[in-house]
Amino acid sequence: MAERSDTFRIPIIKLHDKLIVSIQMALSDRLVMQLKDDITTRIERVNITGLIIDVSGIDVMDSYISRALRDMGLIARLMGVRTVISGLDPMIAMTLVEMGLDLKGVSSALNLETAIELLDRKPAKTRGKGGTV
Amino acid sequence: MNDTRQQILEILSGSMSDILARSVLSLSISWSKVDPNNLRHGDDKRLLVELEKGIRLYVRDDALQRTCMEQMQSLLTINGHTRPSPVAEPQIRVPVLTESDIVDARGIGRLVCNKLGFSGAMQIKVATAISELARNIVQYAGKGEIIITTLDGNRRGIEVVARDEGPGIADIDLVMSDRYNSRTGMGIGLKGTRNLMDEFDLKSNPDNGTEIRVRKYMD
Repeated sequence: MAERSDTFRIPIIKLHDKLIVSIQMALSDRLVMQLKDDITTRIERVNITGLIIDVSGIDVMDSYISRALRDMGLIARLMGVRTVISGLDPMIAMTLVEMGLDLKGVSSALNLETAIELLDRKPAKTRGKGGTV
Repeated sequence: MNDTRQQILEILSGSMSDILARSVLSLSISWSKVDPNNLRHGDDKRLLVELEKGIRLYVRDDALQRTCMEQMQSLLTINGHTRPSPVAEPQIRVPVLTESDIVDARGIGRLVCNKLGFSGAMQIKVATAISELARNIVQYAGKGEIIITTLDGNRRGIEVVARDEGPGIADIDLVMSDRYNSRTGMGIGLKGTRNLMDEFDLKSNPDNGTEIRVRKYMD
């Protein structure tokens, strides 16, 4: 499979004041780590206010992947960027709940569109009750 | 290795990893009860149907999917006749050595569930459980294997055994408790797996390593 090669990276797209990451594949641990590094570097380099991680194409979310996504959100927040996870498959969401996992501290949205709307609203409304970092 | 089998494998390998290709093939053979090297009239269709399910599940790219299916169709409709031979119950062993094996193991688990007719939600639960078990092997034991077996008795379902010869789990009660926090996950890998499955059995000691056996039933 082409996407399994060692050099493949998940693309990060800058759109106006946001970074958009769309995960459309089964995530290996290597890809997760690489993505975490790449997002952090990009946030540092470009001037953005929001990060959207779209997970509509992800195959499963186990404890490692959930933890990593949550970490990405928390790292971004510490750097002054709000994160929204979008497109979580309902069946994957059910599985997360049954396992006792959650993405505490990271907002979520039904799809990419609502994620953008969420980020475009006033920060006070979208950040929830204060920082939970 | 014989011809048709090998040719099918080559077609599949063009659009998925080798181990997935082998699994798709062996499951398709098991489910269709057709031996590709002993194709009889009518058999080809049954095998094709099963192969196509696997291709649809694993080849996301539309164009690639179409090419793969076309190649498969032309291969199987040209090839011969004679009689099918019975095939053993499907059991798949996936060696788990590196982190990319984790992705393969859960993908194969999902495929088996799909073939068994599990609902989408159940497929994801089993795949997630396999992912947790495989990751534990890579992380704590270095190497081991995942054995996926179809349960065809009174209750249809799937059994997953994760086996390694690693250092074992020192304090099972702690790992399964709410207090536990691991380095990498959220400390709920095994607890979560137990919650997702219908049966969960853990054996571990420093001499023999760890064996975790889980089952999920269709009903």
